[in-house]
Amino acid sequence: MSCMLAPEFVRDVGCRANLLWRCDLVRAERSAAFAQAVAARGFDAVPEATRLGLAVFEERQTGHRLVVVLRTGRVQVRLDAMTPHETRVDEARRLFACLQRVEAP
Amino acid sequence: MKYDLDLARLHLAEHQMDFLAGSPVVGHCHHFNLFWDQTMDDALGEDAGRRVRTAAAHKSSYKFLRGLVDAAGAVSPVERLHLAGAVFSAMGHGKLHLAVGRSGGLVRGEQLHYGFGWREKYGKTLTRSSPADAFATGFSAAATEVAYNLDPGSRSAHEERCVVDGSAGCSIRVSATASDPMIPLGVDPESARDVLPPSFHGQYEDRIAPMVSGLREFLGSVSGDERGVIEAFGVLVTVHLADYYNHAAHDVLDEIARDKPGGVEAFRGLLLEAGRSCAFHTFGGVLSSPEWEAMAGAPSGDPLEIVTGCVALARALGFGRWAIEEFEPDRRLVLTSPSTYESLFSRLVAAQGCEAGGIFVGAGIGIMQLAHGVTWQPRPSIDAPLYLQLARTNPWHVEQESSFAAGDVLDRIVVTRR
Repeated sequence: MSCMLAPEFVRDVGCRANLLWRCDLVRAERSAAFAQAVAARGFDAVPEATRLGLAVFEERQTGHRLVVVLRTGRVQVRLDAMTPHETRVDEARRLFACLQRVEAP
Repeated sequence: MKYDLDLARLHLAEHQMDFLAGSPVVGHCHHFNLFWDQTMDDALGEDAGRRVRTAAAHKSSYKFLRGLVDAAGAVSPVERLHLAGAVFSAMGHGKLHLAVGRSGGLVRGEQLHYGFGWREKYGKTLTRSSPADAFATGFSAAATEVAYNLDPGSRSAHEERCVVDGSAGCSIRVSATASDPMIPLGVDPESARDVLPPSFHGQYEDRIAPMVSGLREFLGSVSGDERGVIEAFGVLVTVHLADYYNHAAHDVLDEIARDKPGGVEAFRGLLLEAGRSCAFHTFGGVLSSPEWEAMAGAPSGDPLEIVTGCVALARALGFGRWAIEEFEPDRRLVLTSPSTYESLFSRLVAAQGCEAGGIFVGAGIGIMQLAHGVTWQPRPSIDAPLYLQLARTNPWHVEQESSFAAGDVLDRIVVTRR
């Protein structure tokens, strides 16, 4: 199974102090399947966001969030605001690596 | 205890204004809030700026908390202090531990919006020794007075420690004071209804109205987490007392007019810049956020799309019912509004004809800069270098042609190329 994400992982628009990062699905139309697969990897779904057309997940231990735009396949890694500055880049890369292992169900 | 803001919220749909426990509230992000406080300090100097900001917070918070405890039927000091702390967190201002008695005490703060926001935004590049949390400081004094049924202004507060200088947390000392009594005036829904003119439609309402509905639905579901932090659209958001900004601006203006009248126009220029900052950081940040992309799609860069999006945002954030009277891409924008949260205060509370605010006029410039000076595809840069570049190369000029604060029937601005 191939990775669902494009290889580019960059600071997102409006990123402040390495808290917001962005990657994109190779195929936007697979964003719902991607979201389903993320949920299966132990991230907690944040239900209220679905009204907007987002799928939002939270990593329980850290409070980091993954925001998936269902219509476009944009994925934002939103680190918890209390994350120490010195660990932010590593934490973002860890999450991206985790997302790269996500396979569609 | 988590407070549900909807318990005390009143929405004046016709004028796109929101009230919480009888006080007007607006949505603003940490970029604007820090800029606004810095504007007051730039005008008066750091110490006087902090004094004015703390007093503005005290006055606006007293009126707000008085209304809140009455609406909630909170009677005992313990109940009232719990309620004050809970609503402070729900509004995204951080967490306050109000360990105060009748004569005062010590308030511990965690993740206070201004200190925490300043450290996040500037902490790597700037140093600061003066505390940042004037709003939490004034709020703490007011919470003590309301909890114990004391006269407004009978308690004062100052921030003893703040995270901006590297301290681990924030602490605020509340104590009895012998200063003059304070009169906590402010806007309330009844007086607003009495004075607000009928609303009207502008152009492109069919595009704007659905965006306002979507944004309001989303914003209505947002409130502070267990730490008192609201993260949305990639920024730290607050539901803030509009009277805080308005008292501060008017009090600074009064001091400048009294002591340095030649500086009044310069201060108005600073307020306009704060409005431009709001448009750039708040509107620009939201338009480039995943939340917006999910709701309306990523901005294509069509200027009309940006202008209508910004007007929808202004309405959803409670700034007033802004409307597009005329828009000619690359040439001209005319915005009208029955009033704004600034001009309504100026008309009702301050001396008529004395407007102190820059949101409407500054945002007019900022909206045109976002519409014509930002490359939206494939991805925009909404950052400090672009903000400065747009200021240096700004081709736009704004005139306020009608002022509700000065007695006109509406607010109207015209933005044109120089």
